[in-house]
Amino acid sequence: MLLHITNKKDRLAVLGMIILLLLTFIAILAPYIAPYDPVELNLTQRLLSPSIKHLLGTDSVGRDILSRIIYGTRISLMIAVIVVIIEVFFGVVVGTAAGYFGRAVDEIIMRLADILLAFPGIILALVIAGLLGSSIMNLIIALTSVGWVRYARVVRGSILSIKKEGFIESARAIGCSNLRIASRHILPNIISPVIVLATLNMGTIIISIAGLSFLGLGVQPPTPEWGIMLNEGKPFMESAPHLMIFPGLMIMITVLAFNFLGDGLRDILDMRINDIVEY
Amino acid sequence: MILTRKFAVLFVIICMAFTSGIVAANPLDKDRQVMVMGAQKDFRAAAEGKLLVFDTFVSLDESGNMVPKLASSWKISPDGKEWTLFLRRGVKYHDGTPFNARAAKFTIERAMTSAVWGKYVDAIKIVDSHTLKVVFNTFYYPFLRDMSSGWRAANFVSPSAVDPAWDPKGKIVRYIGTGPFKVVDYKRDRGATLVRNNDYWGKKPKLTKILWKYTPDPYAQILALKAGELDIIGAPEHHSSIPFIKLAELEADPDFVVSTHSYGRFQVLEFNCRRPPFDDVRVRKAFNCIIDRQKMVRSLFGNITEPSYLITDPKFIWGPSNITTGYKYDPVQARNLLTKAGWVDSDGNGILDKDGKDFEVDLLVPTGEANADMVALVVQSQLKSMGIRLNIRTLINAWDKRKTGEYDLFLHHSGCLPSIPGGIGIGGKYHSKGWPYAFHSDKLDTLIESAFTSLDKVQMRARCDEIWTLLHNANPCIPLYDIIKAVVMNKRVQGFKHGPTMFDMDLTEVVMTR
Amino acid sequence: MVKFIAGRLALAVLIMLGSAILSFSILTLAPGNAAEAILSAERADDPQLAEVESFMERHGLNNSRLIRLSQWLHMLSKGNFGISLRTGEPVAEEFRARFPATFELAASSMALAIIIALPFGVISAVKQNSILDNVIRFVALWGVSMPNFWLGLLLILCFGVILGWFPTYGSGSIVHLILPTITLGTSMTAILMRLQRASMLEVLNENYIRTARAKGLHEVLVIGKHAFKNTLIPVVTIIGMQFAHLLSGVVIVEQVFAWPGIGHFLVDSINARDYPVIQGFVLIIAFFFVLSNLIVDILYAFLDPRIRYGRTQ
Repeated sequence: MLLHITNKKDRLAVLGMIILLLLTFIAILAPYIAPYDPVELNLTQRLLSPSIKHLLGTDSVGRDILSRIIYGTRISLMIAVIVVIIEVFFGVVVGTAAGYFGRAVDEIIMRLADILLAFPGIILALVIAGLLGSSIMNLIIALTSVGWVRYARVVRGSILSIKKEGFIESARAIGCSNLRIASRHILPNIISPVIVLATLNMGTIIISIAGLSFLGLGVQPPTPEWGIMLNEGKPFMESAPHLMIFPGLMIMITVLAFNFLGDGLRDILDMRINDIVEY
Repeated sequence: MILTRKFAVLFVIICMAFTSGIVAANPLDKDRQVMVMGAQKDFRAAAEGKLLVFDTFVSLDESGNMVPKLASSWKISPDGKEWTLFLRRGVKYHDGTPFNARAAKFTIERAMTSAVWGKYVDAIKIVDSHTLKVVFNTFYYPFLRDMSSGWRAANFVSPSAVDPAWDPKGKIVRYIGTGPFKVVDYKRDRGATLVRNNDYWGKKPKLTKILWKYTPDPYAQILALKAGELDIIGAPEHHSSIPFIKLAELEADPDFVVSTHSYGRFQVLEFNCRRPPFDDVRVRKAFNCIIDRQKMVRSLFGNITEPSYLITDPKFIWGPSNITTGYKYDPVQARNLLTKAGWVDSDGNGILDKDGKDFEVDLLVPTGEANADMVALVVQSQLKSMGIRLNIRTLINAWDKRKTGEYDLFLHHSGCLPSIPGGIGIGGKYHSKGWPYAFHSDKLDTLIESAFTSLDKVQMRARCDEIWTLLHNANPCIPLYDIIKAVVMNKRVQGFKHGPTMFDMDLTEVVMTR
Repeated sequence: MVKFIAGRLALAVLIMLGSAILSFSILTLAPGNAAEAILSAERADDPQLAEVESFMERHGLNNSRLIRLSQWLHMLSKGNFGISLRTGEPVAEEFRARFPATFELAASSMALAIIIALPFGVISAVKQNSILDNVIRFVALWGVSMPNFWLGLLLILCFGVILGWFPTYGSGSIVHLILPTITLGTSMTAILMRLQRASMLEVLNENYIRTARAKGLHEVLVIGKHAFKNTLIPVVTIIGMQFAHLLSGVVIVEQVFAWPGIGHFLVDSINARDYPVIQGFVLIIAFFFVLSNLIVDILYAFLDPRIRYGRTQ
């Protein structure tokens, strides 16, 4: 599927894919490729500019920025993947239930979804993370508590359109169980919109993680995380701008890669842009 | 003719240019005594702003002695239950309402709606136009002291500026006090304009106007100061609102003046003394020996502040002036103490252990403590070298954890003025009604409860000595360094002085130069 | 039509009620005590236990959750959002005082987005697959991927600190507005640009455009009059919906630029655990969301003949 590199978008998708593979390797191999311990302080080596010894320089307490960025890849990708998995799980279960059973179940679930969607996602996440206190666990709770709704809607929409085509009725007529219908007939049809949504969503989630951490409501410092690094670098904007430039660059590249891939996938899987308006 | 006209105009212009040049050479900016002050809090939310507009009965000096202000003198009956206040005469609020015994009674009643001591007051009697008697049902030593603090200052509002007027429970409509500056304009979250009160009873300030600009972010403040948008920052904040690490940079800049001042408030790490490992005084003592304060302070902050070795600053009137040797860095003794307490590295993983459990403790840092992030990291690395693992948790709701005891170490600060310093008051940190998980003992409770029950100063001092000796030996916390208050201003501002408490600033002599 | 609008209105009311209960219940799961947080921030020292208790008493924080919820709903029904624990002012008043600043920023960002996105979106579609189109599409993707807090910092560094052209924080004048507007407007611009391009492409394939071209109409007229006009319906509705989003996206940008708006106050209130403010603000923002969705729905109803002539969905 990805081998049809005919137009520009597909090429960007492949580029996104390559960047993401690279980032995944960096995340997995972090302990082997990071030149220094990301949390070890060295008070004699503070605020150094990039050099051979410290390729991206050091921060305000002498930690190696490159090493922190490498470990940061791990943290960001890990949290984002967990969040997406949870969201997809709840979204698919709830969306399938709504679409499959229809009527009252559908009505209740979708009104609940409406209520949740009435809250701007980032504000709700901000309030939840802020009130629960900052930790990775609470960050995941904050992000997933609203995030699943969008999946539920997309899944429900796809199921409704499958239902119209009528082959669920035929399957039921030949005596397939609910579970079999779900796994054989429904899942394959909802999988592509979910994949596209998840890919594009990864970018948004990574920005949210960094954003909340930047506000001090996300991951705990001294954890090497990009948003925290930005926040810690902010005071030294004039004297040592590299402290805030590199982590931000990393966030941008990662998000861009997910968007390249997601955009390409959306075209390949032929989905209309209006189906998923990303924010 | 036309030509001469043109020449005349040119001449005038040249003259004007010259005169302006001459004025520029004159250091004092006669027309514009306006200072733009950057503040991290909204004007109404800051105690420091209130003290510019409101006067209190008394203010404190550096060591905590009371200095007359709206009360020109006061008298306490021998049993301590009757306080007589002699009020300053000829004082008027900014709206012309005279300040007298009736107004003062209104102020005390207003304070009583939120103050702890409200329930101790039996009666407030107006003796004459400028004499007031407050009758307590018990001796409450900190009464006037409490009334002097910035966060109670708005109680000194003009009784006609609340709605309904003269109602102690009324809502403040306008900030009208008796202080050196009047509020002429206030915009929420933007700022306020203060002008000089030309009828001020005390020494009138030289500044004619202060523009209070709300600038919540310290780094944004510094950038704005550099851009010339602000004249002075740090003055209307309690202690270290400007991160120390930026101070060195600003000090090196010839365009700015950095002025620091110690208010005797120390950054400390409080122990949770109610559960292992810190229920063992030997471990607490060991921790006080592990931390190399000198190295921490010099490497992080240079010469901006000084390390501290005592629980509370001894300079306060009831401070630990009897303690002569503070805690000090001594890794050998720390090792001995830890071994005696049973903490040794028996499995060779580099981390001390006891009963099969690694030595791992949590340090709780409340969000927004300036400098805390870096200090915590240094503590973490110093403990690591002794084989102790420290987990740093920066939390918004750290305060709740303080109550539930879900911490081992808690980044906090020692007490200072205007309260009785060091948490030795009833309900203060080390009294059992204070922090639930701080160090407590029955003996300490008894001592604290009896410390301020008589008016005999010698006896009071003796009891304080006893309290400090007991506390010092108990090692209830790790004092780290002095949280100084830092004010940074540009060269136009001259004559700034720090106030006696960290809520105050002394602007009387401030002038703006060109 | 009337039935449709009535249904939407009823739904909106239902959602608001649900939101009110939800925004209340978020706070009940929160550990934490407003009294201590507020008192200690106020006086920079530990409040004594007695003080905390009297504060809780005064503000009814000791009551059970159910009582507080019913009290809150009762107040809401009277249009009262409660009183801020921190400032003692009505929550609605706190919102009103700060909303203009936020609105100013959101509106200028939206204006920026519209001015840039619409023409470039059209050009991109008309010159599909040209170099210009590719550049525009890439820039749009980049705009969506750019974390706005980082963009804000970069702008401050570049135009505030290094070049010194713009003030680095605060509000009050046009020059103060420029950097925050760019920061907030970038992702909006990117979203709109992509949308404009997509809907333009869709319209360009329609029969009436082919007819117009076949008639020999000038290309500029075809694009400008026939095609562009028809793309406006989806674009305008999206603008409406995204405006409410902008109001929330403003939170982080307000932090970066110390902009005295609702987002800034909300974050401060979260730190202080000022429950009435958090509840109230979240609910008011939700209200804006519901309202803008409602307007969009009704607008759709007017524009879409299928709904206008009585068939509901």
